[in-house]
Amino acid sequence: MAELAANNISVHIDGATIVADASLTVATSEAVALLGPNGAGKTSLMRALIGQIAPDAGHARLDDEETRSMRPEALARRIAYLPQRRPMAWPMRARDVVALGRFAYGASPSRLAPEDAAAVDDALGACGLGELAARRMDTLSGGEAARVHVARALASGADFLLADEPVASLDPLRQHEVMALIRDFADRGGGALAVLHDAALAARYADRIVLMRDGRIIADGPPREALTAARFEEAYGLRAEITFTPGGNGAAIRVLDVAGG
Amino acid sequence: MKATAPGISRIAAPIAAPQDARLNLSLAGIGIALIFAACLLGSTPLSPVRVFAGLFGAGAEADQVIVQTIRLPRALAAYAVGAALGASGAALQGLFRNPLAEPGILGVSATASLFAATAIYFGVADAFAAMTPLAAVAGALLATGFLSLAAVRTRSVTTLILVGVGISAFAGAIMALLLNLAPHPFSLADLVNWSLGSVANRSLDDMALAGPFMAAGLVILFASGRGLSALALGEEAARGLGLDVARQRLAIVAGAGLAAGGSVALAGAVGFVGIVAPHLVRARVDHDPQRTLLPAALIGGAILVAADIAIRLAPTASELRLGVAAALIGAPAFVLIALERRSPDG
Repeated sequence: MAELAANNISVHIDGATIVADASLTVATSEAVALLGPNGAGKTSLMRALIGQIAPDAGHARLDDEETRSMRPEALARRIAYLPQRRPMAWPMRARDVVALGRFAYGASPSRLAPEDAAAVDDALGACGLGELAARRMDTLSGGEAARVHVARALASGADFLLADEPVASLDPLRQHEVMALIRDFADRGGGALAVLHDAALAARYADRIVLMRDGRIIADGPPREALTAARFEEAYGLRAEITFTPGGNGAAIRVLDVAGG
Repeated sequence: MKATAPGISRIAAPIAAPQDARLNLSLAGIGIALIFAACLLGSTPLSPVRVFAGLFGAGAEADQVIVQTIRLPRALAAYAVGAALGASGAALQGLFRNPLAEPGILGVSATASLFAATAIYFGVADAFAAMTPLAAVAGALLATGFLSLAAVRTRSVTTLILVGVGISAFAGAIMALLLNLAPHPFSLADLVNWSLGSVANRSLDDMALAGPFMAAGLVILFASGRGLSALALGEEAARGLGLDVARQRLAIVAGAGLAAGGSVALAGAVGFVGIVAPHLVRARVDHDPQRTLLPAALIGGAILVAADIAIRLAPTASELRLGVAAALIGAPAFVLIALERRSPDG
């Protein structure tokens, strides 16, 4: 079992506190959803976790190693990262984008060793992209492109998948498709951390929900414990009635009124 | 979900798909044919048979001298310059994720021309013939060196491009100042030569001076191609894929600087090849930046040899400059390609 941990991380940018003393762990075989309003520090915390930004205080560790001091390729073999913005500079083929998931193994789209090619084919299959593999990215729908990026992460064979708003601007069905892929990744032994905005979606697919506000983590636990009406209001400034389906993981969030103002 | 163990039983896979091999072989073939065609042109009429014999050290001695020391060096110079600019353009576009980037936009060509022109202006070039090309390469390296410092400092590609535009404008301003103050028409013509670009009267000695810089640049660029493909996903994702983005940026800026600096040393500033060449081949290599490098170099070389043939066939009173011809062909082609990009599948 491996563990990715943020220990008391603080990030300041231009005097503003973006992340304040945040601690969080993601273990293999679990899916964690990171929730919070815009500007809560979710992306910065995630980027600090994978060493893309240096925290002003605290540590981000993968097992016992500081992620920031790991070589980029060594880190990429353990953690796959899907950033929030996924701009394609060139309309490459879907399969070539998935093949980039093997970059840390010395592969490139035009040079795949047999084990790289096998990993790419597996990932394409797992994400239901077999038919679309030869298509150019600019001919794919938003949902299809999102699945290509998840497949790219899966192809890396990494233990951890960190996805920053993987379902942004997708319709409900595509959101569930992508979340099912992430859930499946965790069920097969991976550790997933996803930034989400839909609390009900998070409750359905995540083992744990971490709530952030103003750079601080205000709740961390199983959906039923972390996602209470009080915490929800504290995080988002919205009064809501939250009901869970008995024995299941479905959650209904009925917004009553705007509390904060 | 366990990671595949790295480094075991990696069977060497072919670098490019078969279609790439076909494309690159055809482009290389076209290049060779054009170089041969260029050797047919000159003030002494020579038949293709005599040119062919002359190229391979057979036939009359006079034919050999004409073909090997006058015509071939000129054609090879055009090809080398085109190849260096084509590959530099493809690499810079991959790095900046922008199809309009090229050595010109970074100010590398402008700085290199300025240094060459300065060497001529102050008469250093008269004292020591090799000074002009050395100055050009020094200028290019200064520009790339400055850019690499800026690249480490700023993580933003847009900022880097703007720095390049600034360098370009400044070099252009000083060049204009030199032209303005040129004491007599002779030096003015020399300065114009460096601004417009030409491969007329290039010798194998000129090639030997500039060649190593271009070769070193091309080696660096081809070795860094893999990272360019990763950058297609954006810098943040590329970093997540395991790419050392700062080092990649440095490699491309240095490689493109050496290649473009060497090309300016040989031919002066020749524009548009670096933009047009990659555009022409990109769709044929599935828009993969790594696979674009080689065919962009090959087609860039072919384009400049063809342009150099065209200016010698053109019925103009004085021979057109290669840079002018390249712009005349390249600019409209560039506009057409830019417009094509608006089509639904472009």
